[in-house]
Amino acid sequence: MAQVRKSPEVHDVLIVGSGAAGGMAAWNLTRKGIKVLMLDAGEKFNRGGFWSHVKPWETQKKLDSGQKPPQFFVDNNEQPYHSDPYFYLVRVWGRGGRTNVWGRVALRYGDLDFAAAAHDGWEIDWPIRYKDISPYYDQVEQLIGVCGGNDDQDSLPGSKFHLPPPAPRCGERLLQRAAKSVGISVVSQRKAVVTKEHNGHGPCHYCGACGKGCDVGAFFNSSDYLLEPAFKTGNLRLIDNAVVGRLLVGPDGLANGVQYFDRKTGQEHQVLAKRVIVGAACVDSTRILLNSKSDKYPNGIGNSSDVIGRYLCEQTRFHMYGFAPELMGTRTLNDDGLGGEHIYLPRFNHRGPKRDYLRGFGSQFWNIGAQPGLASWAKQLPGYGAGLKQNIKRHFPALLAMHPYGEVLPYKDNRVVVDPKKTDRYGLPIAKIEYQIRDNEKKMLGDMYDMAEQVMRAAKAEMLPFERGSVDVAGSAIHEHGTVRMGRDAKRSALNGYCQMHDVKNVFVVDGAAFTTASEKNPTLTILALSWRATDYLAEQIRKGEV
Amino acid sequence: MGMSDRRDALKGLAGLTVLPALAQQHQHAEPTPAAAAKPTAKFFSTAEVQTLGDWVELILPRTDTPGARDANVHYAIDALCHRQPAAGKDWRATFGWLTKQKGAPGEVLARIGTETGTPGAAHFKRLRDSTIEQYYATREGLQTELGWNANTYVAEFKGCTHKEHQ
Repeated sequence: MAQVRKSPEVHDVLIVGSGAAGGMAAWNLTRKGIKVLMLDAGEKFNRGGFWSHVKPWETQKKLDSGQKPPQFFVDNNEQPYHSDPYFYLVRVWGRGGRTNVWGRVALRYGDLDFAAAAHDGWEIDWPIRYKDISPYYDQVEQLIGVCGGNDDQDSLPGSKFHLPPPAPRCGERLLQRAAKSVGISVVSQRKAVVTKEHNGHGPCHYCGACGKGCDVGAFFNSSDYLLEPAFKTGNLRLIDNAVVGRLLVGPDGLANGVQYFDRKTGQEHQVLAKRVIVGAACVDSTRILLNSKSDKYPNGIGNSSDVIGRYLCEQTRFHMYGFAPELMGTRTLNDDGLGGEHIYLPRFNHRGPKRDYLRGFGSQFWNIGAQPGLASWAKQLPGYGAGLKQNIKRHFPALLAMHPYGEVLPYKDNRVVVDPKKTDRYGLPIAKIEYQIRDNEKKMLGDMYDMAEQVMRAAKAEMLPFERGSVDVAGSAIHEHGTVRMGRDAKRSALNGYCQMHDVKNVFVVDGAAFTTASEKNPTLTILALSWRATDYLAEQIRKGEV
Repeated sequence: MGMSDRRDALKGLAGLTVLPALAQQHQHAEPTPAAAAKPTAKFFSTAEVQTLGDWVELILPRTDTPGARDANVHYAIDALCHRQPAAGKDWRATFGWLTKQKGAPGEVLARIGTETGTPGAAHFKRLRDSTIEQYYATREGLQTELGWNANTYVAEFKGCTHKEHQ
């Protein structure tokens, strides 16, 4: 067995993961003069090699000639997990993590979210309120650039720092109008895309291919927006291909470093640090913490409450499609825009009559208008021959789409565990995900379907068939939260409101795992704000010599 | 947020290193079309691919724009079968079934295109679905037929400009 390579240097702060959470932590600490070592499980993605401008008809030819797009996503054969029932886990190992290809939706949580449990009594309350985090939302939006409207409401706090929103597409205008006619408000989407030059980042050129990575860095990604400035301080050192296995614990019960394995060679390393920040994304962070067993922490570091791994929450989601009659047969426009939707339907079910379920839902609208990838709906049109061809062309500019997202409550037995019987290539237990939606989510789905159908019908859409109650496979929203949740009570939560472990004061968990609830919203903006807030707190603690 | 924190935030913003003017550097030259190499059969025989071309052309024919044969959909299906053994197995069965039917291909499609729950209906579905998938991923299908001309540089996104939709 190869000898473990141990580095004698003791780092001020060690950060695991380079995505939104870890990247923000590194950016904030290094600019304050704190030396940071970051471990990332992959490498920097070469922006020049992104396939953002490879046309659909060129893709296969390039593949046939042996070319490959960037391999953003972790191959589950390399780092397996298992789940029962199936949970779709998307991981990006490499600088910037999932922010290289994220959906860019940047919604603020409000007190409807933070105080949800205080209101309805389901599980524990967030230890923070909007007033605690709103200054950080302000700062994050100014730093990274978020476009959006001036159309906030109680379920969607606004911002005076939004960059100009993009104009809606035709189909989006029609759905906005239709929703309004049935009393539902649809606002400008808020996205971390710079619609005008911002802090040195050039503006979006509306090619619509954000999911392949942005070749000009016009949307927030942790690598360009956080890590590169952090490197320039001279205070950040980053080790690529460092797959973290465990946190190490000293005799005082504090973390004193990390064990990691070189992804290329398998070589085991140990590095030492005075403080450790975990931001490897919810499931991987949880796996690392649960595998960090010791005499002091027999069920994982910081887990005296036995909540780590539990309360995994994601979101329910489905899709409804139709065609706008007044757009059928019109001239095909370039509907790319930002990539994804320009409008958003905020939660509204807290108003009006009491529902027979808790929490709420919103809706997104991507893929509206003339978009490639039409085969999925075109196959549903009848017939063949010239008539079919003409019919597809007539429908092409007219596609309407709704994608509602509903909150999934935190349940104790929706969880991530580590399975000692199944190990990865480094000999460490892999993650097992046990997750299912329950009655509350199923009742909410009924309302979600009613809402989507009501809006589509108000738009007089020619509907594509849908099956009421069907829902995307768990994990599809790629918004895992809650497995290292924050709370006021150390017996029922792992972290305090600053993402600091109750049990182990020099460990912070700053990704979605720290969330107390999921809400119906996309979490990245809140992850960034929480990580900034946590590292402000940490820096102050360091200054005072308290951690 | 305390004042020191606020100062930190502002200092950080001011200190954020300005990246090069990426948008100005960025160019979107249309990629040079690959030499129009004539596709070759990889899974089916050359004669079989030509026959397959007759079938896909019936699904999406040449009108005032190119049809499925013009777009080499038959070769795209052949290449798919070459890459994916499972698709090859399915398509071998479909091709064999179609070519054994009595009557001209147009007559066969007219018959099985209205069936449900029969082997013919399943083979028709495979032929139709595959033709649609492949055709609308080609330049002929997506750009020439549908007028899609996106995934390109746009200085300003104007969105919907129809007066009646405002």
